[in-house]
Amino acid sequence: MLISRFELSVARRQLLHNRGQTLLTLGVVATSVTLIVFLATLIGGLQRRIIGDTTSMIPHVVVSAPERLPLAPWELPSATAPAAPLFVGRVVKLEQRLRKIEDWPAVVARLRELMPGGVAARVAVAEGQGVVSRESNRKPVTLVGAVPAEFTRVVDLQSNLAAGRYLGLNGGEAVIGYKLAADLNLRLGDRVRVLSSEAVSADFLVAGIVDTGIAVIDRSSLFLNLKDAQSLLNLGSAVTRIGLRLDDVFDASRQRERLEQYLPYEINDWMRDNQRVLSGIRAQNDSSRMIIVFTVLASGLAVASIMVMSVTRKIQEIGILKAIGAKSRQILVIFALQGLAVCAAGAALGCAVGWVLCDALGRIEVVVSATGRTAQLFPVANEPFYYGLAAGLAVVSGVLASLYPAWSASRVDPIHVIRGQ
Amino acid sequence: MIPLLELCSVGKVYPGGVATRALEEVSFAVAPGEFVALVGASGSGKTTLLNLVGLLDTPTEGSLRLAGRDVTGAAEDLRAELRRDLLGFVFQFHYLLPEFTALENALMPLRIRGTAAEDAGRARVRALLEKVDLGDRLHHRPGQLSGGQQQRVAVVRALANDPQVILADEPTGNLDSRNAHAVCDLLRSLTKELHKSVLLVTHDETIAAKADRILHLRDGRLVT
Ligand SMILES: Nc1ncnc2c1ncn2[C@@H]1O[C@H](COP(=O)(O)OP(=O)(O)OP(=O)(O)O)[C@@H](O)[C@H]1O
Ligand SMILES: [Mg+2]
Repeated sequence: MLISRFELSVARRQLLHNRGQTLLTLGVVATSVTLIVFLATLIGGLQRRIIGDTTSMIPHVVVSAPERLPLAPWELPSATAPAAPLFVGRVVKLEQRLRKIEDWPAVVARLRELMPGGVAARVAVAEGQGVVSRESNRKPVTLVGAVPAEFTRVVDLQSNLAAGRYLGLNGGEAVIGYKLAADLNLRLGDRVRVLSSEAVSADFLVAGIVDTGIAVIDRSSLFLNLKDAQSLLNLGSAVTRIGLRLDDVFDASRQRERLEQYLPYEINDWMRDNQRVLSGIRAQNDSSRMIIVFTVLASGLAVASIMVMSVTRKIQEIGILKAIGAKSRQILVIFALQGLAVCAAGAALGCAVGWVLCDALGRIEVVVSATGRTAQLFPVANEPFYYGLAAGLAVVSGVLASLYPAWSASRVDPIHVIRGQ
Repeated sequence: MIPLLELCSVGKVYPGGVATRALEEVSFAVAPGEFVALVGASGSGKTTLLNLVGLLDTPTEGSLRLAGRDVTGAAEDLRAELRRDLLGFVFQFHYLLPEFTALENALMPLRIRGTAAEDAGRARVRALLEKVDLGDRLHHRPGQLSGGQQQRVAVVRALANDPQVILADEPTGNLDSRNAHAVCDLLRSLTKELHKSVLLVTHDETIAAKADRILHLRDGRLVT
């Protein structure tokens, strides 16, 4: 058997006997584990918040009609007919028209077929520009029309409501951002006039006010029923885009690339539109990984040096154990066991301290908007994974660090000890 | 009778800047149950010889047989096993482990061999400790024992694994003469009773006089 009472009892007694040194090692390991837990949960939580803020109020993937590029003169059908003279210098004014998806139910069906898994929800949206006015005040807005129950599964408007309702929005009702409401001095139940870019106008009743924390939405968005938006924007039964929410936000680019191969539409994903956020996160990951590596290294070295000292102090005992028949391997096991035990205990302690710390930090809430919405001051991701990571790293580095002292202990020559006395 | 321990022209040269010859042409044998004293001036090679016999060191010349087996060039792990199973050591200093009680210290050679061996030998070791008047000190730590008591624990530890040969290098060197004789008498009576061979290094002529046979070392050679 690899480990018997001999190795276990000597390892245990020495640890208990040299309490100061044991506590010192424990403290080193616990500190590094706490540090790693703290760093990882904080950075993990921060990144989750950044990703959340970036993606929660936009569809992860958007399918829209392709841009209509004007033809070059030589591509004009008339260019092939010599009878039609080409006027150079004539200004051609391209009609500003909304790009629309006419057969959107078919596109949605096709999307279902192309993406059998990984999609949480889909929604068809009629989107365009307009102006909201109340008395003499006017504000430009983006009109967003969709079936509320479907829209809110892709972009969670419902749970960001500060007042009123979004689900079950009737014709003639609208939901607006709270800043827009403040700008126009609007309350629930007030009426506003909306004039679209297609020069259609209609009156709406304010049925809900949202506070999303995202300025463009809070300041200049108007959410409507799909039908209302379609008629304001002269779309008939068409929509302008189809939004998708994915199970895994980071799957967006891959899904977009796949869809581009099959669909003759313009497809965008949030990752492509937010390269800077992503590269920031990547840099953050790299630096936190580096900090973790150095922390682990430092604690490993500290453990090693404390253990080297302890082996030096124990050299007589080691020598005598070997003289009376202990094998080198047994001595090695004793010291490796000590390293393992102290590191495991230190890791447990570090995790406990880390948890208490992160839990306390996570409880601090601050008001983040005028509507009284609160959020965590430190968005800690207090998750088992980070604890496992920190504890695992500490134990592995500690055991590796104890191998050298353990090995040098196993090399002690009993003769030197006996002669030395 | 086959000797338990047999040295044949054993020599030892310590390498170094100036090589030191510590032993030369040493030949002798120890029979089972024989109590042999090894005397000689300081630096004459007594410890060197005992370390060779104790398989803590290897001779540079000659051969060494233990219990009928040639152990001259045995590998490290085998030497550890032979020390564990066939030899018992009493050193000048007791070298008890401070973290363990008297009983546990005495049991250590058996614990090294394995948990089963320890459990099997526990009663016998306890009886030995009682025999050396330590029955009421079984659970004391070495720090709580007197010098003579510590050395008695060390004597019992040397006997714990039921060895064939006890090797003792000035085991009484640290004790006053009354204690020294007590420990020595103990060693002698126990080993006679258990029929163990003993090789005892000592400076003390009166202690040597109690041996069955005395070997004299001078400048690394046996003189008769
Ligand atoms: N490791 C070593 N390297 C070199 N020379 C050594 C070494 N160990 C012992 N010697 C030398 O070998 C000789 C014998 O030493 P040893 O320790 O065996 O003497 P001893 O008879 O036990 O002496 P003492 O009675 O003082 O203990 C001495 O001259 C000593 O200097
Ligand atoms: Mg000596």
